[in-house]
Amino acid sequence: MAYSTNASKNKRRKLLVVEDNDINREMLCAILDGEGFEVMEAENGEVGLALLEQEYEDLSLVLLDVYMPVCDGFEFLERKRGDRRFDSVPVIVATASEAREDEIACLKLGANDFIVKPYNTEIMMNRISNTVHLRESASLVNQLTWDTLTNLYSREFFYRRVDSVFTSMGDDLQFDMVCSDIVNFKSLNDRYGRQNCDQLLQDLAARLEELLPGYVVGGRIGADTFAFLVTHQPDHTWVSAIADVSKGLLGTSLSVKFGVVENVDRQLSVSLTCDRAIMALERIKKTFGVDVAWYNDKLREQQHMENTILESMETALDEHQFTVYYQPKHDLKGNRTGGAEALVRWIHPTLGFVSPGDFIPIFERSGFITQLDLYVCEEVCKEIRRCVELGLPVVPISFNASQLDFDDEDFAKKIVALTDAYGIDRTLLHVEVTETACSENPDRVIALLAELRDFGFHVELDDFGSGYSSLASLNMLPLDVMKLDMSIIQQASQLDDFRIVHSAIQMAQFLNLETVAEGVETQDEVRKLKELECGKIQGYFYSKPLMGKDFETYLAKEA
Amino acid sequence: MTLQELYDRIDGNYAEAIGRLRMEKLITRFILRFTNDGACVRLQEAWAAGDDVATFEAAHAAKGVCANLSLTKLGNLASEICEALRPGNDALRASTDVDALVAELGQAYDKTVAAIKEYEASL
Repeated sequence: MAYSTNASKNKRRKLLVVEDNDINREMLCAILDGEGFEVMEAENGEVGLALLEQEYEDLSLVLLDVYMPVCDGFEFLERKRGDRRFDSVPVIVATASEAREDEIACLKLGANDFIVKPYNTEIMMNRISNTVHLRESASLVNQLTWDTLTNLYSREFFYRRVDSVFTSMGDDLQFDMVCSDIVNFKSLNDRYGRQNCDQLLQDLAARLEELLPGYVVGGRIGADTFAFLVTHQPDHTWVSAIADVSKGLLGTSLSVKFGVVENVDRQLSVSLTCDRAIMALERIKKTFGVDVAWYNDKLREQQHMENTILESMETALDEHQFTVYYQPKHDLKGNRTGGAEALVRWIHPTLGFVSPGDFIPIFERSGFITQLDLYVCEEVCKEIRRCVELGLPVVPISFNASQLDFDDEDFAKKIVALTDAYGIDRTLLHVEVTETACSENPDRVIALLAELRDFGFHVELDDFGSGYSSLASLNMLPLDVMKLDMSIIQQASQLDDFRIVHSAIQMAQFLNLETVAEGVETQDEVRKLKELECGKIQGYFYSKPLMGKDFETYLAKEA
Repeated sequence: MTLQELYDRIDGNYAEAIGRLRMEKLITRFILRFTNDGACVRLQEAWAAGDDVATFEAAHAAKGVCANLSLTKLGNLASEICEALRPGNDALRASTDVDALVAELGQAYDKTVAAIKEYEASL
């Protein structure tokens, strides 16, 4: 028979038959089974709803009897309609009744079609097939168009909708693109569970749709990223309107950041406009108390610069575009050079000189900094080796280790391998760390610094006195040298008040740490620091950072 | 007794049944189960007890299962009772001799069950 050819087509489609009469139910199941469906049975609406709850994601259709002693077809439809998750599962009502009232009542309750007992198998199979096909096509369209969770457009359709809004609206009407993002959403997901966080996304989307003035269309363009096209809001009053948008959500305090592109350029793709809004919000993601950022040309230039740096960093390392400079540290007691700090410079083939202030943060974000640190370390080893071979005074040289280096368990061993390869006395290599490098995982950092010192390297605490220095870190960290940040030296010099510097030096002495003052530029500063028994001085007063050859010449003068 | 002979004896529609289930094996499986289906018995008991609602529900169930098995005569009787007792069909109820229909259904049911048992014995 014609309908039996569907057997292979229907394979793996799952149907649920809800019917109280055993014979009717089993007969129906036998017919459907013969057509290749996987059939589940329920003897009443209550059992049917329980199976629907378990299987709704995979169910293609429910065949439902109307009159049943426990939870009849009407109740089943009513309860099914009350749960939006089940919307995608169509119901065909199968009944012996030809009563119009029943049909109308079932249709009103959301039934998709009817079949009348006794079953005409061919009619029944065609109706099932049509309903399943319709459901699958609609579901595909819905999947592509709407984000089922938030009821916002899906990303692709949001972009299309924005385009069609632009086409249909006059050119004189200006729009803004507002993108939102929940800070640390992944960690919220982990802490509060997916279900709660899904609710959070739903609530947030609903609130923003309501609160954003001039709302035109909204889309969910990432896991926790929404984009909204709004008519241009010149006075930014909406910022106060959405200030408390996340209040009470998830029962905790959470932060939602917004990036805005004002007066959207319709010539640009919608996705690029959204990228720009997101770029703006990324800049404030870690800034407490700032929730909205506007995209501007400066940001674009920064982004271009960042992209150029990211694209060229590996080539730069291969082509030795990074040059290591050495800034001498003057030993006040011995009145001679007592060491140097290695500082990296980048001469980019097209950008020219790139400031470390520009590229170091980017390298840190990308993780590339660890490769650069090792590169610098090797250059330092080579330089010390050269000094030895040239018969120059050999002084310890420090290089800067970043926070990410401490994630590498083999970091100390890699340094050992480099010093061994160049036959360098390990005490000549100093590793500079900052307090911030120790903030993430202090135990790990302490262990690694201890390991470095066990190998014979010296550890210098860089930038002490800048930002929020902690006395606890001085106590906890295994150190040899404390470097006083140039900011406290300069401040002391300006105020002509070296009491803080004095205290810091005394504290270092008490802890048996050598002191190095950074950023020393004047004779007065040198005199004062000498009086205070500072160990070494680094700064332009003695020398700017020098290229390898110039550094060797500098040392040669002392030979 | 063949399945077709059984259907002839109980005023059923063999052609319709085979059209629906396609295999005699399946029809046999379900027709044998009919002797244990309680709808027709419940219908008679409910009517005897004067319970219109329960009679309607049992008639509805009997109509469905009979129709699917193409037990035409029995199904038609159940259907007539069902429609006469359907809430709101007062005029039809007034013009229908439900007592007679229930009695006729009882006889037809007994005859059907007896014939099915005979058929079962012949297998």
